[in-house]
Amino acid sequence: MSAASRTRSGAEGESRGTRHSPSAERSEGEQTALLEVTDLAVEFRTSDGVVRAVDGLSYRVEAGRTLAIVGESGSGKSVSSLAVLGLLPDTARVTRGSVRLAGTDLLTLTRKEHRARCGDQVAMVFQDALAALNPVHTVGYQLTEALRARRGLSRADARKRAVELLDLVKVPNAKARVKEYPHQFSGGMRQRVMIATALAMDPDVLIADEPTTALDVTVQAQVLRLLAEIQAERQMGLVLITHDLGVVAGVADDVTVMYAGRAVEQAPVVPAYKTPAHPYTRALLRSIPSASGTGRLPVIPGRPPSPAAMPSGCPFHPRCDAVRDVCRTDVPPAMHPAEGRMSACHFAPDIMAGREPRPDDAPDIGGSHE
Amino acid sequence: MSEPVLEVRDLVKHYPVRNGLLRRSTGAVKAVDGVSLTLERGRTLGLVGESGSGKSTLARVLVGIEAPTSGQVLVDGEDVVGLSRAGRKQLRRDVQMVFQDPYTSLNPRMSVSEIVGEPFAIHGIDPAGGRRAAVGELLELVGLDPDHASRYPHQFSGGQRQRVGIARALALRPKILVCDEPVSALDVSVQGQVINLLEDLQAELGLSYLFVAHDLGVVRHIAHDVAVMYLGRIVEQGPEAAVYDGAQHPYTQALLSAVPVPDPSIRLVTPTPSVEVGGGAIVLEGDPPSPVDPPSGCPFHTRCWLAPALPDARTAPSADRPETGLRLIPTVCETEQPALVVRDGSAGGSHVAACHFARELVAPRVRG
Amino acid sequence: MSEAASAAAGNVAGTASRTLATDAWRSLRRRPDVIISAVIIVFFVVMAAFPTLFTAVSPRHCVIGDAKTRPQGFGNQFPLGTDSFGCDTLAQLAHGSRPSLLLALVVVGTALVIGVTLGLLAGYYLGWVDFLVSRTVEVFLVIPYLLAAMLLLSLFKNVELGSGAFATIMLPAIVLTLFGWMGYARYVRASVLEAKNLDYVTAARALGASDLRIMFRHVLPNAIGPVTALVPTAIAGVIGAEAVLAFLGIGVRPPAISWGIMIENGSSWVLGGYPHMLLLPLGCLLATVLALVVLGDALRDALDPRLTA
Repeated sequence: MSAASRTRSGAEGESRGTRHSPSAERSEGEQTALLEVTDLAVEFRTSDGVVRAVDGLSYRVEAGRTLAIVGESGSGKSVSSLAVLGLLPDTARVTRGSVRLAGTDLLTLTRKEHRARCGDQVAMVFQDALAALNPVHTVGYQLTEALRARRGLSRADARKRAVELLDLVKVPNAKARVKEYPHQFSGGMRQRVMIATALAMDPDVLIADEPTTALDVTVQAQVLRLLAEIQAERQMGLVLITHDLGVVAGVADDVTVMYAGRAVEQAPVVPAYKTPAHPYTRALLRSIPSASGTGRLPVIPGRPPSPAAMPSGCPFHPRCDAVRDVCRTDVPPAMHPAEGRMSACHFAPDIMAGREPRPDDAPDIGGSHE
Repeated sequence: MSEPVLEVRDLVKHYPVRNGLLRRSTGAVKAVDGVSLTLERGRTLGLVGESGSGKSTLARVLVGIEAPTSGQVLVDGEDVVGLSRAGRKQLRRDVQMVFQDPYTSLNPRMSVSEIVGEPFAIHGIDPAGGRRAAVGELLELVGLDPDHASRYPHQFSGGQRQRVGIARALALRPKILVCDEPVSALDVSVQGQVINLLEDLQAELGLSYLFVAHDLGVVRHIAHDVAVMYLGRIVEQGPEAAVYDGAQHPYTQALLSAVPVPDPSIRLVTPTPSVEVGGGAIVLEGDPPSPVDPPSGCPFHTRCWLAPALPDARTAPSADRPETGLRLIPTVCETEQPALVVRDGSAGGSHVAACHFARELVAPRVRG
Repeated sequence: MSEAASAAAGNVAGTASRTLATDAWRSLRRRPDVIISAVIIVFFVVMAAFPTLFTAVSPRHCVIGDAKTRPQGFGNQFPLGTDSFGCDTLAQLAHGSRPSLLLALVVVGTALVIGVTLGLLAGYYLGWVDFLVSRTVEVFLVIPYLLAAMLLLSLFKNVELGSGAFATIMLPAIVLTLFGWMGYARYVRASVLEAKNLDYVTAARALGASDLRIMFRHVLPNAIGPVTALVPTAIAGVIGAEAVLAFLGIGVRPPAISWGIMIENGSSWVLGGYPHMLLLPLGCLLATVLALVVLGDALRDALDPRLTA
């Protein structure tokens, strides 16, 4: 990267560390989670039978922190957030787990109560803003639809609030633009409108599903900065669902890496990138084209498994470069190779330390690898 | 330096904007507005820019899907613009295209062997050993099992479909492959496989690539030279290392700084936003202007983060330009279009940028 | 390359490949609804071809005296009763199937060819071709077709058309085709507009494919889907519309009979206690149309490679 545009300053990293000090807060247990997902499992009915899209996902979202959920298509990252919001399609069903929002388990509520609860406290930003906004209503109308319906705002108040919201997301000339329709906005501006819509009810948690994937890098930077500013100002919890490890590194505090419906690694973002504890995370990070290498890219062979034909044992084992016999037969438990870190790999401590796991035929000295 | 296989000279592609009942032309979308490029044999030229920069239009003109408004396209020294029908057909054998979306670029109602064999059918070619064998060889070349030739596209994953698209493009043994965002629709773990395949094919077949992408990381990995487009023009061009490590145009710098890097110690979003050089990401304000009515002078001046900080910047709003008067920037940026020339000799003669103040831009970085 | 090859190999599910047609046949013959529909269609086609297999009575042999201007119910010597002129209903049904089905086939077939071709050209080339086609469509949509039918009637009043199977349906076929193609043209134009900008069309163009090849190999197969859904209902529409034309004297030429005419006649006797006069021909029509709907849907799915697993 251009030296003019970036500093790899250690100081910045440190200041971030002290600003949030994730491990300290967590160990003291002061921080209560705004949103806590525990052991969530979602199944889909398909023509091939019942398919498990999410299997035992747990995470917590805290005030003022950003959790990134990373995964490829079909990893279950989007389905899990739909489950949190009660927006799953009729063919899907939550089979286990809980979603606790301010102490209430949303999954015990009826669908209607669930949606009502979420509308107030959890909001969602979608990838495709053009599809998520209704083309026949003005932006101002859509911004305040929920406010008018739920809070009974008058037309005049709603108009005023819509202008405030557009100002908040830095849409220039907000007063005039509330009267315009979604197609009159550019891609980046539409995404801002989406964010404004999500903020209308003053949510505690914002879930953003690939909010910048469709945008150019320069506009992506604007939108990500906006999200970060709003989050810092309101001490909101932010869940960022993405496939872009660069975006995660740029804005997240914690990261959950999903593969084949499971969380394979969970950690604060700095150690996760420095010493990944799961071979999938490690391989993903290595496969990013960057300045360093001009030779062949290290790649992950094969492709993600279909949920209908999940491999035995560890779902990643057919593509893993550190696969051992145990991986083919046993589903790895959640290992905790270090404070605040989780990795679903039989050899998490080895991977984290950068060692190759003990070969299968090596004599067993000094106890089990677990 | 090897000899050029593709040369583009002053290429212009304008789309008329028609309005009213009589469909009178009321202006033009200046999608490509005077682009010159050189692609050398066996090398890769990366073309980057935001959406709407004209990079995809340029790609479509080069493969002959769109006719240019003016300018020259030379393939092996021969101008292919304004060729006869037969000549155009020959051009199509020399320049082929790989598309972005592997889900829409293959006809769902044709089997893979029909898709890969279609170039032979169109050109009436009967390769030695028969079309079936040729299709099998092509599939093997791109790493697919020839036994799967009778399957349909939906039976393949995204990465495999992209391989089918590459096999189709290679059927006519082209010299140049125009790749329009060939990996951006693929999963991260599959992107690398396709990039490696493209690099292998280049080494094996001596192909030249024009690699159009918005992912600057991918371009950096695969390209030997890089051209940066903004509003239909090239604003900076040069060897990959020179452009990435010594960007001279403020737009290139902003673009590079906005790319998220997978290193958590480099925050994309700094706690206090700033546009200072060297202070985290340079976040450009707003969206690119409309290519129907591009700004006067330097097309980037309306979003340029550098211009207001220059010593030449005006101190009072310009009276005769009320629309841009709010930005206190050097007058020359508003009035004179900068030429794409060598701005800083230290980077060698092939690194060019279209900015009046490229030198000022280079200087602080060299000091720092 | 070897790494790439191993990466890509063996990921496709499924067994040895078969052609699409055999796949389609295999999946179709396992579906009971498809089999029943096919049996119904075959039944009526046989009836249209050989009406004498089903009845020994001529439809024109009407026992007016027996009828006493009242239709008869079931039983007696007429298995399905008679109409108000004492004509045998079964004989009429059997003999009426030929003109009805032939008319539907000719009209829908011709209208499809005209509509699809014009829609394809309009959507593909746009510009003045589209202008011409679209305006023509609008003109034909605006003209009341009964008015045009009467005009045609006066034109052909004195023309001897002969007495073959085609001659009896010539006039209604012309009128109904003339006013039956616009829907197809509009649908095809719309889906061509969508399909022609897909990347695989651009890819074919980049390969140097001719317009004809692009239109018929790439655009049309992917644009025809919505149109096929219109066909069964169009067939029902034609058979019904023929009855209206018959009223004006430009339907199937008497003394030939058709389902449309029977429905028209029967509708006035429904409330008089003789619902069979309406229900029998209507039932035949509905059975044909429903069977076509099922067959058409199944065929479309079976021939779409994306839906055959």
